[in-house]
Amino acid sequence: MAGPRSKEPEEVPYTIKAAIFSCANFASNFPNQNRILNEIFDEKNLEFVVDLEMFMNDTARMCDLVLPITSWFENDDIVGGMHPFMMRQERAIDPIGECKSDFEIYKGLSEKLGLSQYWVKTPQAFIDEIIHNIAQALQNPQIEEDFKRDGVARLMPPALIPLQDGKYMTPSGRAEFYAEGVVVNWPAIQPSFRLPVDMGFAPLPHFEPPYEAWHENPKFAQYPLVLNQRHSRFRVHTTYYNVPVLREMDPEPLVEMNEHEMARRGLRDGDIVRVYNDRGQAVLKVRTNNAYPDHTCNINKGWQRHQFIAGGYQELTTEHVNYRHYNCSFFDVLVEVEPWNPEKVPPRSIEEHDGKAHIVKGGV
Amino acid sequence: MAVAETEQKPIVISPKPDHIPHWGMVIDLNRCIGCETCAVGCKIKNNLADGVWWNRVLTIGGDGLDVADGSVEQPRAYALPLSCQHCENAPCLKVCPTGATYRTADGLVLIDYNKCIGCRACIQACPYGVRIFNEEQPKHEYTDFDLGAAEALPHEQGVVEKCTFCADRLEQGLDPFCVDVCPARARFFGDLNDPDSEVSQLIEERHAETLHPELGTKPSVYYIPPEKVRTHPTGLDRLQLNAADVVHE
Repeated sequence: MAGPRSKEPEEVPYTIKAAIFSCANFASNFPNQNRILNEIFDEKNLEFVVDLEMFMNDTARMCDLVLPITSWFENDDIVGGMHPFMMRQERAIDPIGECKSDFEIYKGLSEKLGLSQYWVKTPQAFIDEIIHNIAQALQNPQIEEDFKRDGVARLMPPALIPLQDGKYMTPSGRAEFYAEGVVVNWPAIQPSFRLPVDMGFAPLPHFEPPYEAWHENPKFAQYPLVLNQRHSRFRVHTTYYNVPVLREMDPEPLVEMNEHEMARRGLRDGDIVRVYNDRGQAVLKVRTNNAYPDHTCNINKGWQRHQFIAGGYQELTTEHVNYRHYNCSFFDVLVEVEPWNPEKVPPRSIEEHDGKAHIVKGGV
Repeated sequence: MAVAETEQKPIVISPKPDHIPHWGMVIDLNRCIGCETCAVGCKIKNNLADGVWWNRVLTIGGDGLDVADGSVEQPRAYALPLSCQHCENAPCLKVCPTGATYRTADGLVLIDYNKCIGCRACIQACPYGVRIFNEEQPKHEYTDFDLGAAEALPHEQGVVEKCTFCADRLEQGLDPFCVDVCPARARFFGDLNDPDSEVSQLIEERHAETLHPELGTKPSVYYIPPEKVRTHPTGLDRLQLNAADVVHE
């Protein structure tokens, strides 16, 4: 079996030459940003990159072509998430300028590629079909009625107690403390899929240290701070990075650490510092905040690269994943902080045209 | 329902002919999460100019948003929403040379922009720092259209402005906008002259306090103080914490 956990990658019969990004700020939100910008976006690897995007964010700045898309107020959609509701997104105004929705863009592309047979319905008809299928699958016609009437439907009862019948999604049907091999996430999809013990996983619960952020890691001597990237109240990931009213209240990225760590480095509030490790750097102001324990620091997530004096926080994170979950470990990161030397690390040069920042020198 | 306008003395309309309400607000600091929805809501609803805020949410114990105070072992931080306190004994009113700042019979401290000469004596007098002077022509450059309520007054250069307890909304029987939009339901509004009103009862039951009572300003805004123990031991300190080490505030 070839895949992300395979020891021997399979050769693929095709080479990827182009990529389209949509519904994501890929270059900003994925870790080890220098590798993403310099390797993934290198023309030798991707000859043509397209971004379906509203704003000139980190990803848009890397792309050959940016297609302006509609905002949430300009097209119909159906929205679910990590909660028990399905909601209707209703178009409130016509698309502004030349914007098209993701749906329209993908439909247009599909037609050019001879795949128009998948796009015969309107978005509204697809939405009706989706909610109907959900109601059928959950054997609850109320879902479809509620959705059509109110624009929102609850999929699970509020008093749901998972596993209340005592049947666990394990091969034995019981809770297992001793598991030979690691059961892949989402057992509902592959309840008996296990990675074998010979891949090195102990069968009983045990402790394993973090990949990087651990005091016994030899790197800790050089990079003694764990970097958090807290989700700010003023973002949903990177969305809202450019809202002027929010920028008045929260004008720039800051690295925060407690008074002990500030004193160790001879730093004061408002100093400009360089946060760095062997993957990259970020240059920004520092602020004391005793909310953070010793050996930790924080840069709120969601700032774009052009909002830093140089670099960016996502340069510091690592793309390392482990076999137990499908996400990146953004906080499993060690860094150090030092006063900024503008001769060693020149600032990114920003010009203002029409009230908008344009990066002139110093790359993205 | 009270009517308060900036161009003439208010007409008080009350269901009880002999009862004049005293509008007041209670803010529960145990519920406030520092989300700034009230601050941004006020800014939008009143179509405030770029850079102008009538309502701010400060972090108690720190200079910036969410900056904790106290020690690394025992940090603490609370949020404090702050706007005009609509004082009964308003110092701003006393020092205003033209009478531009005035107080309505139902307790709102308002500014008549037509009479304000921009001397800023009121800003010096106000101990809460909630008044704003428009030195420059107010700009609205983020959008090319006005925001907020139809009743929002235009903003003028050379005058002082501040929170009005949403006098325009009170006219319509609505609560101030900040009360309406608070997602934590931390704000309450009502008649301080009515002992059975929600605000009066909260003040008594929850021991709500005003800011700087020693100054004698007699604000109409009350704060329910943070009540719970907030030790939040951090990191490895949690393993060493003994009951004797817990500090109760």
